Amino acid sequence: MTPASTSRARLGGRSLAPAVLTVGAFALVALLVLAPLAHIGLALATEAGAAALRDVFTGRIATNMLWLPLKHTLLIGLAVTLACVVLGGLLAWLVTMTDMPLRRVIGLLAALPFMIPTFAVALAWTVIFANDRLGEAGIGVLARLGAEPPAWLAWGAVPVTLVLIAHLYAIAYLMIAPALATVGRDLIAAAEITGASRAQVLKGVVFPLVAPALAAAGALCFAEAASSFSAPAILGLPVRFHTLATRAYGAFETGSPERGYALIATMIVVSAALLLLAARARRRGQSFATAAGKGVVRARMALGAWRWPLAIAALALVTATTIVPALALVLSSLSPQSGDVFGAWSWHYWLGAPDAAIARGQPGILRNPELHRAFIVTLAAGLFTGVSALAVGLVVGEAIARLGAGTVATTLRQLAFLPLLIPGLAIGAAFIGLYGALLYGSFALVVIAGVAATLPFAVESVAAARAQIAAELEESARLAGAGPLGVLVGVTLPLAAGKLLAGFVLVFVKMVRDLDLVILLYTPALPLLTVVAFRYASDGFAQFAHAVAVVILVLSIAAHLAAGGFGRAAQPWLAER
Amino acid sequence: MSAAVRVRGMKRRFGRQVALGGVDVDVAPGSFCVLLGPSGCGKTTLLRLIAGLEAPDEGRIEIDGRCVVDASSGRTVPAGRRKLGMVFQGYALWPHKTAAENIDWPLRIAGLDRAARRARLAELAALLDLAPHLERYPGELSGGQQQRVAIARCLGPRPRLLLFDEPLSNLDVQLRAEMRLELLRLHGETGVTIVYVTHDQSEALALADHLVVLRDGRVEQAGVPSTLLTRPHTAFVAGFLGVPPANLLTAAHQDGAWRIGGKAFAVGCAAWGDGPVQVMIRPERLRLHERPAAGLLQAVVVEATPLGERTLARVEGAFGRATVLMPPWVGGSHGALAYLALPPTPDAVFAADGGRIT
Repeated sequence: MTPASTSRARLGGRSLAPAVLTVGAFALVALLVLAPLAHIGLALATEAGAAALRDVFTGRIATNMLWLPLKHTLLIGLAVTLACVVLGGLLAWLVTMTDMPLRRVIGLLAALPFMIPTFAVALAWTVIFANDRLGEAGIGVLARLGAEPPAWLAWGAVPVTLVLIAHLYAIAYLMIAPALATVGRDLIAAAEITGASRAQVLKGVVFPLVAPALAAAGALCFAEAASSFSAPAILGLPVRFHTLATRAYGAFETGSPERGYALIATMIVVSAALLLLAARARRRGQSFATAAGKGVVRARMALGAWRWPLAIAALALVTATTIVPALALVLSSLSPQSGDVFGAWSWHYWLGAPDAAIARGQPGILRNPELHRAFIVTLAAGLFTGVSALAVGLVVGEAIARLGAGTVATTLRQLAFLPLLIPGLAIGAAFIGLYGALLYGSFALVVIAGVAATLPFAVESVAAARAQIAAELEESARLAGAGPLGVLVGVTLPLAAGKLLAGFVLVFVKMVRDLDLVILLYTPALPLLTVVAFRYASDGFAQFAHAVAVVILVLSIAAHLAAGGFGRAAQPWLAER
Repeated sequence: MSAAVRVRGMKRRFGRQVALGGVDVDVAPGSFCVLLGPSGCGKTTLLRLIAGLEAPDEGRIEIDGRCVVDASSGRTVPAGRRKLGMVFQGYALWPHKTAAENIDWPLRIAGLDRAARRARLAELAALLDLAPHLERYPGELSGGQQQRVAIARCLGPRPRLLLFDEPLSNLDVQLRAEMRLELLRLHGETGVTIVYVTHDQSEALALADHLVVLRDGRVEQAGVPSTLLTRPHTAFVAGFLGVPPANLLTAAHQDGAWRIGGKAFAVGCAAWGDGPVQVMIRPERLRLHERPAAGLLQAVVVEATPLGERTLARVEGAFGRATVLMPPWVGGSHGALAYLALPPTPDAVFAADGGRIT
């Protein structure tokens, strides 16, 4: 424990306040995390639940309901994980440890895919690659150019995998780059001086140092890929390609929630097993994560003749996963038919008056009162969830920090991070089951589910904010005669504001762009942009869906820009020589 | 016998900044050579060039008579084949390996078998008093222990040459003094050639048998420490070396006499030229008086530190600043008036550009 944290713990040591804080934190976590999990468990323990489990695991439908989708889920999860760790790791290495040209631009672009929701990338995929499976009108750019892509590239496992990679490699990059950034020049020089070959240096020094980050990134990518609903829903369902998530969604939609829970429980167990493995790798790494210290000078490996080829490859990757899908969606929303981007452009899908000949008389999205409502509801959901999540995060984060290093703190932290391995779809389903009788179709339920889903991010951002503030800073303000409020307003908040704002934006964006969490919470009275876009796409109104996706993109990127989320503060390694 | 390290015409620049502007250095086998200079003088760059961690723009380096890098022919022996060890400023211990593993890894790379590695580890642990700490990770070791692990790690493969980059700068004063003794003992016991970088002149004087003073990417003076102290070649060396360093006072030629702070000094030294010169006077040759008298310079005591048998005083006046090392001072301390007595002749005289005149 550092001296700073001991003195902090002593400051907070007036016995009553921490007790209230701890109890409050546990109560919040119980309500938001444990209750939904317990609900799923209890639902499966009933007679109907047992029957559902039997059906799903051993019944005649088991192959189609569980085993085949499970196989798809695992294959997609593994392929995505492997690809993301390799791509994200390579990119992180190129940006932080080599003299690759354009590495700053590439680093900034590499963080962007995280802002582009999976369902938008999936829609963009159909703009380019769709074949005539959904009718002549829906075919993509390639098919219109006469180069009809093969069926396996248009729908099913391959595009789902690629689309998830396009979204998730950014997470791997953002997790691996900071770890590489702490590997100092001298650590590597010390190894080189011994006469070790480049391979020996990589294997003996560099790899073990970043292994915990690689494991954590891999686990998170797997959990995200395995639980994704939107990508397989958009690119898999047209060819009856199912994963556990789409099967679970189907079960909930057809009124057999127990079967849904059974499938979701399977998803959670698989993800949890992987995250636990990764956590073990990380624990072994914990002791040295901080030992590398501050102010390290990094070696930049000279790439020689590979400088430009690698830069171009990296640039192609980040462009293909950011600018290309965004452009595809924008162009498609202006085209007469999805994918007919060389046709006569019109603003109809944005501004057009209702025309019975087009899309059953739907007006352009900017003229559509339902869309206006969805826009406001979505914005409000983002704002309220952001603020509430931060409030909950402050309570839980403070409690963890003040409890120090004991078992209680560890338990609380692990509970707070549990939502990472509960699929968004499951959280939505569980909250409907839990509080649906009271709150179904209410705005509050969306916010509560959102807070539960984003709790790990909120707690993390509170921890990051606390790390900005050395106890000495607060103490010196206290010694200068400031009261508790004065310290809070004069010192603590200004110092913490940046990280808290970043946490708020993260939650806000997740709410605005997430489909999985809200797909089941949606009611016509409570429209959310992502669900509206998904509905449009399922109804065959592709361009409307694309236009709405563009609106979501703009919203989430604007929020990040407003918070300075693309700046050097977010990726400090970009600022160095 | 060829030099252990021979550096010739070494030049290195980073962008527009010249780190080394043509440096020659010779290190005799078995010597303890210290590269000394203020920060930014190029000493660490020179060390990293010797190690093979940087490439020179111009110049060549030989280690034990073998050319390891020559910018004109493009020849470079990679760092790992130069058979040297290096202790880094931040130690650069691999944080994911225990102390034992840190020491063992280079032995493994060197191709030693298991038994030989174990024996060597025990030897090194005894030499550096590390036995109780071998199973700990660097993060769990104190600064001094990390330091010793770093030294053991690079001694392991029995290098002919050891390089140290400001290894003591992260330790507290007491530990620093202890580690100095430890390093000298180690040098005596192993006979290895050491090149050691520091900006701390007292550390340099305590350790070096060969001292190289660097400034702005050039060698100011190199040689035996006592020679540098008694016969500095430049005003910079004179003012940089020594505990406390020598005084440099400006003397101007006025009305047919050399004057310091307006008072005539060293009458009849025509050979110093016309312009103002810098006069070196050792602190122990200055005296302070409580009362004014002819030929004394008025001064204000800034600080007077009693050292037992003597007092170290710093004074300011029209002559600038001076350090005085003298019998116990009973006059006033901070802010008191005092009168400075100069010796009849200076210890050395330097031109305005720093070159030595006499």
